[in-house]
Amino acid sequence: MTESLTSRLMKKPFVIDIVSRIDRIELTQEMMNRIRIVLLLSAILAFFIAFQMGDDWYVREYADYDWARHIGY
Amino acid sequence: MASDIGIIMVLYTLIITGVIVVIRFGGVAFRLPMQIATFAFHRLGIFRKLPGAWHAPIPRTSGITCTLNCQACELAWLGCPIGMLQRYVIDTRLPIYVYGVLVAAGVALGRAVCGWLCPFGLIMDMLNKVSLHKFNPPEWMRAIKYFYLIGAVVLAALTGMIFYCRYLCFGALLGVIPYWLTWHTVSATWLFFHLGVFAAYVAFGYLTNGRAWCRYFCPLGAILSLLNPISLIRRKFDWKWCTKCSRCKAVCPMGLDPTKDDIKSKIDCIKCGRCVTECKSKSLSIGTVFSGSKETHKKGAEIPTD
Repeated sequence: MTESLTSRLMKKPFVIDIVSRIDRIELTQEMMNRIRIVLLLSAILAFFIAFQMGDDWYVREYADYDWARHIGY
Repeated sequence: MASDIGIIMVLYTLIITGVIVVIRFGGVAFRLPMQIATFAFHRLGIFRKLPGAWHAPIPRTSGITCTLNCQACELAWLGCPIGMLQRYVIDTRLPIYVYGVLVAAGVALGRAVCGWLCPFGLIMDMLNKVSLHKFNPPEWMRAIKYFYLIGAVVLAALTGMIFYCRYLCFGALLGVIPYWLTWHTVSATWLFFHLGVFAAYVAFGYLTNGRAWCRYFCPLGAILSLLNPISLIRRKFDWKWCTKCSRCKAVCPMGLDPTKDDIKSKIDCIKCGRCVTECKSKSLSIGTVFSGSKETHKKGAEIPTD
């Protein structure tokens, strides 16, 4: 029986190194909260930029755009 | 313009907060009503097709929600983030708005979006009820959804058309059929091509599992799965009460073991709560990261004797 791709990969030294590095990262609750806050703030900033710069909520060319026609009907 | 931003921000915040409150305090019993409500919400454009002027005009907008929802559908009034992402790529514009919606929804709800809000998810759940569950595809197939996501962006850039929607998406049911049923003509080639793609995915789901699309192919699920480990909605497991009956594992539509906290469960759990309703010892529950420790045992559970 041939060895699976995953098990062959897991024996490579660089894969072992990467996996052990990831394994050593301690994801504490505090760190998770920080990641959440940063991502949420980036999302709010994205909304602000999108609407301030481009009026993305209602872009006429997208709203009037016949999506089905473009797909080829 | 400033008021527009305010209104939209408040709307998105209210919807996301509302969903979190329903999941936390309402529980799994509210999942089906919520799925039906979101399905109807995405199809509000039906008012454009009804005779008379008794209803408010529903425009077609370029706004998006965080669910898979075909914009080609004549009854749609909101767009699909994957379709819109491709249009941004074709127009060489930064998809900042798409990023905002997906990250906000992903951090708050994660893949609970797939289990509780997605209109396709409702169809998948209906398919799951009748599917055979006979074949178990290999685990590496879960990676296909990431290739679909990368492929959707790359092919849109290379071909200059919404390639993914045109050839690969399961959107026939919510896109082509309503378009065809209203007064539009659809060429037989396209109709049969999309029905064929749809039938292929349905057949695969019928033979394996109803949620096969969400598990293996959905590019939106791929984005949300990356944010799932840090989302505010959590599936909680209290090992002290577990009888190791494996009922939860047998019913999981995503093919996961809910008693394990491995990386596969972290990224692919859609928090549908099937395991919670199936668990007789009540050692599983769905909650938020704010709802305290894992001491989630409830009254009325069967207390294990061993």
